[in-house]
Amino acid sequence: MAPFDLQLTLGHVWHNISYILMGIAFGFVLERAGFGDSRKLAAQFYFRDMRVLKVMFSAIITAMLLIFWSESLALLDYTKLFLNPTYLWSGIVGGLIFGVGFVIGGYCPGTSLVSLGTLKLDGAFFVLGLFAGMFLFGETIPLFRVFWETAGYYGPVSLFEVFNVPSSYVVCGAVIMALAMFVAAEKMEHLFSTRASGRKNP
Amino acid sequence: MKLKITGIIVALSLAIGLNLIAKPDLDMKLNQLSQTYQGILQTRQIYIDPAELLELMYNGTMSYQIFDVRDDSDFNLFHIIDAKKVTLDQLKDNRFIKTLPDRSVIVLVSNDETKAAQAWKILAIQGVSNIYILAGGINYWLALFDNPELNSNPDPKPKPEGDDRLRHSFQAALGQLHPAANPDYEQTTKRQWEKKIIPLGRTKSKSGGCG
Repeated sequence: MAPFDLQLTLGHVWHNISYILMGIAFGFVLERAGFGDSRKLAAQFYFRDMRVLKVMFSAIITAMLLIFWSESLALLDYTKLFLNPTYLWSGIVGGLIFGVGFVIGGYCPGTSLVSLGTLKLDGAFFVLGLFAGMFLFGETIPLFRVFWETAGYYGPVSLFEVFNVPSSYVVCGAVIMALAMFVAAEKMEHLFSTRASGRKNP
Repeated sequence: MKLKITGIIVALSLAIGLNLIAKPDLDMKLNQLSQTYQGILQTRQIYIDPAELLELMYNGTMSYQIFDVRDDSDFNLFHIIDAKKVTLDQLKDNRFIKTLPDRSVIVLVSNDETKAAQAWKILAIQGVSNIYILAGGINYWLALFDNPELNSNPDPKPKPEGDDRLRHSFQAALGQLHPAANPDYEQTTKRQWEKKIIPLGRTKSKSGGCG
């Protein structure tokens, strides 16, 4: 029953190689989805190209359906999956900083590496900024360590635990929400692309 | 367009279908994972020596909780100091699991080891970590700490496959007032034992990130 202990099954070397292979596959899929181009990524914030939302939500509901179907068929032990603990307030502040960086730079950390992988200059500069930010964070952490480690700590929680409903209800809700957002995203793309092209060609 | 409609139908069908099939309950999971957990138990990596529990009790830097899964009469006759009495049904209750502290070592205790091993499986299957079993149970604990003559070499050995009955007689039901409920710290140094409890690390996330 999954999750499998890859280190035990593959051995130390192949366990590490498997991470590299998964990273390459992930980067390849991101590049093919157009996530290596900052113009396409930034267009998300102007509602002209909603591919980020569509790809991310597709990935979320695909993984969600696979995980909970596997659990229901006794192929996966859900309790053994690692869940990121919730740090609500530090998460909100971090999310805002992340969002500002995304709008200004046109990339998130993962997509900037994809861009660098295809030798794009803006991607390379973003990665330099990323490392500078990491260095700054590491050097200044004593100033906000308490906030970072404790603000709004709830441990690893899931929506179905918060609302005290079966996990299948939340899966159903997430799928319906994603599908509704896909439809809305397409309409917005159509609306804002038409407006933009209208301004260019009066 | 056809592809999009097919995608919508597939996603919706899978989501609705998930609500129609039965989710495996705890007992089903116990049956399915029985062999996996039996394998872990057989390595005895989660069985701690009574001296290690005693050290933990005097440690002061590590939070711990002792859960005693024996019946009421045995618990009232004798239990380790600060141990909480719980039933296997209580351990199966998700509301009880929610009350367990995040950063704490849990030690399960029965008269021998059989019932504590059952309790370990129930907690492990619900994703509770840092759970250990007192090797030899209360019978071994009492053999070591209630009898100074026996508490030197040769050590009495734990009985993993015991019948989980209390094999000591008591003049009165003293519970945790019994002298062996809280032995002196020096008892930990009188015997050789293998350290099994893994120190608890930091809780900050170890993975994550965006696309």
